[in-house]
Amino acid sequence: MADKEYVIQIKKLTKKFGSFVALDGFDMNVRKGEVHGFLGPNGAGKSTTIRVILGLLKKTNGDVMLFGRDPWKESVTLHSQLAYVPGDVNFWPNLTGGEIIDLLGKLRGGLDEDRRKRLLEKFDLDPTKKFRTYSKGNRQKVALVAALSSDVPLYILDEPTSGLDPLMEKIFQDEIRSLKKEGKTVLLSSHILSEVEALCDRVTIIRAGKAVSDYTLAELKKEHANLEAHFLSQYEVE
Amino acid sequence: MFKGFLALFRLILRRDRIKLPLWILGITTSLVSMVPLLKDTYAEQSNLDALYGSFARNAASLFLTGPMDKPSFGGLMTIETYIWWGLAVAFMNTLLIVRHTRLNEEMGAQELMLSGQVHRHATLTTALTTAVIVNVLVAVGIGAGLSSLEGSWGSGAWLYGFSMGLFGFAWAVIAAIVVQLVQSTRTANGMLAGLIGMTFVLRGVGNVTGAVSADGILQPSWVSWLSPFGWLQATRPLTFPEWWPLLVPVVFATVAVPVAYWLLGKRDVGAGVLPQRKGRARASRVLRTSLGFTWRLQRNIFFGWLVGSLAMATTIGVLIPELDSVYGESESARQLVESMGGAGAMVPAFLSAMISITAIMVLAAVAQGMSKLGVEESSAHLESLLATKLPRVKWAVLHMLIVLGGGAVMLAATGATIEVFVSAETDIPLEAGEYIVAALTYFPVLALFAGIYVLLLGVVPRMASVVAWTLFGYVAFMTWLGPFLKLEQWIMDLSPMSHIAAAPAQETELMPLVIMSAISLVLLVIGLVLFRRRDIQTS
Repeated sequence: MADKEYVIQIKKLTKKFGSFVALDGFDMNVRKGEVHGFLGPNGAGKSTTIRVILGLLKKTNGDVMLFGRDPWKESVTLHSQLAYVPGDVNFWPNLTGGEIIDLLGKLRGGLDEDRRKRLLEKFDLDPTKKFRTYSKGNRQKVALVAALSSDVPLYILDEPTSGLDPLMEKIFQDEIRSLKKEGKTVLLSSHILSEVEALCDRVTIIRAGKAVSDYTLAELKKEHANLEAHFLSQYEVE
Repeated sequence: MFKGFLALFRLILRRDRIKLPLWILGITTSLVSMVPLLKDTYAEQSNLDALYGSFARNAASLFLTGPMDKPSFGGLMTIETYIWWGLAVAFMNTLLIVRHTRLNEEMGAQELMLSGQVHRHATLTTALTTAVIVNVLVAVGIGAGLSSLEGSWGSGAWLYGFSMGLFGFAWAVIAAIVVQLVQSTRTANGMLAGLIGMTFVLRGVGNVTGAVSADGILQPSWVSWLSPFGWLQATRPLTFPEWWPLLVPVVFATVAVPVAYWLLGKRDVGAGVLPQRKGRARASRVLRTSLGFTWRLQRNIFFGWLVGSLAMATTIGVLIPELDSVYGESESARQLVESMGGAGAMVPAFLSAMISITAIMVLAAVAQGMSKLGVEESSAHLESLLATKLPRVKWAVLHMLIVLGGGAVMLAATGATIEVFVSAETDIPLEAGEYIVAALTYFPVLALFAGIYVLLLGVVPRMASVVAWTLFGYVAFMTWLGPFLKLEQWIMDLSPMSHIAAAPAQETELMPLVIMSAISLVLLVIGLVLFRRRDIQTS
């Protein structure tokens, strides 16, 4: 049964697209209040996992629990408790950044005005421009501000810092740390090992649809000098 | 100015290898095929005389189609084709230039090309050169086609072609300036469509405020010279051919092309000369509701088709006074109208047929509106929406309600427009709202189509729009051309339009409407259930 301690619980999750196996008995547990890193190479199944958690894709087999409930059956109720930054940020080209932030916030159940204002300032984002005129980095900021402006228990971020410059990357990290202080849970899928190392309490590494390791960062550092050494070791085994 | 020209030119040919031939062939063949079609319908001189009698006086038809200069086949061909094909040629040119200049910059392709051995002006040069070639092909195609079919026009057939070609190039040049001004492809295309519409109206105003000269030809007022459509009309190729007005677009291009290059030289790559307008920093109250937001995504489609269907209804309304004189005397035209609109008095039968034709336009609006569902999903917008509290079914139903609501409004508006003309221009007895109700009897077809689309969305999401447009093509073909082709009844019956009695000429039958509505409801429910159970398509 569902454990109160876990926000996300995944056991032996399988997802097939036709004959292609995207997830093959994948396991992951995200505890309440932790920043959980989700690492893996391109095509390993990170975005697929996240989309199953969001109830956008239907699992083929296994167990998935979000806040102890089935995200496929109860996606709509569960979505009031989370905010999502998609891996492929693509919003409506003729709406402005400000309109998109308000719209997604409202559809999620409301956003925190103070946060919205603070985040726009910190990320130095002009909300009056049409989405299609933003640069890659600014598009990413729209998605980040839209998600982080909501006061929800869980944030699911799929490669949220792609396209951000180092200065903005630092601001992002500060924001995640303050979320953690507030007791929020964050699932952070990322390519950037230093970002994961700097922010995360635990890390799940996925490869070819399977979890190859699930450690706290402290455990991990005992065995390996740093995350990078560990990550690479997982891929040099075979 | 030319460095990189050949490579860029080959790129255009490669990218447009299907699009441009289709435009050119479509415009020329459809125009040329109007010759036998019109000859068949208006075979007798008495028809032409009757048309001439009414079209020379009628302000509304002067505004829309321009003056009919003389009661000849050339005069008829001019009012039936010249301006309308001009519209198509104008759009072909503006879209061509925008696609190969501004769109390149918006996609970032321009930046990449300019980083190579390419002069910063080369893209514009290449696009304009392509436009020249395309317009020459159109001109020659039209000239050769018309002169081979109708010898009596002599060199006028070629004048028709070259007027069209130079008119087209003038629009390419206008587009070349507009793309320097604004930053987005959408704004550029929108502005150009607006200019086309505006200058079309200016020419109409010029005609209405014009005066008949001593030789009995209507001379438009000076306002017409402000419009490329006025330049086009001025050559009168099939009635009183004049070659000198061709100089106007030539002079215009000579002045305007350097302006385009000058503007291009003044601005940064990717930027526009005009400052970017600021948008709203906050979402309006309406946009914050899921209904308001869906409306925002649908409204451009709605307004575009509303304007189109009202223009069509107005054109039909303008024709009403001419009906008895023109169609009444032609047996083949009478038979055609009766096969579409039912036997009986000429005017109601004709209008009933026309209502079914405008209903097809509204059906196209429904097809495009429903296709938005597929677009939202494939462009990953849906993924962001469904990660909020918005339920899948609600998302689909909201779109469908707006599309069908819009369709009902369009049907009612076209019916009302036609009714206004009937009551103003004829003494046919009329029940209040008769034509509005008649147009609305086609609503179940719209609902059926929406139901089919939702079913497709549930079963074959990636194919839904293609299948839907193919179905639309079948229905449109059967309604518009089926009666001409004398097809087997069962082939016609496959189209839902065939099961709706052409009101008000025919008595409305309720049964088919009820059955169609019931079927669409069943399809909708099955479609929604399947949509709820399937994966959301992701890239």
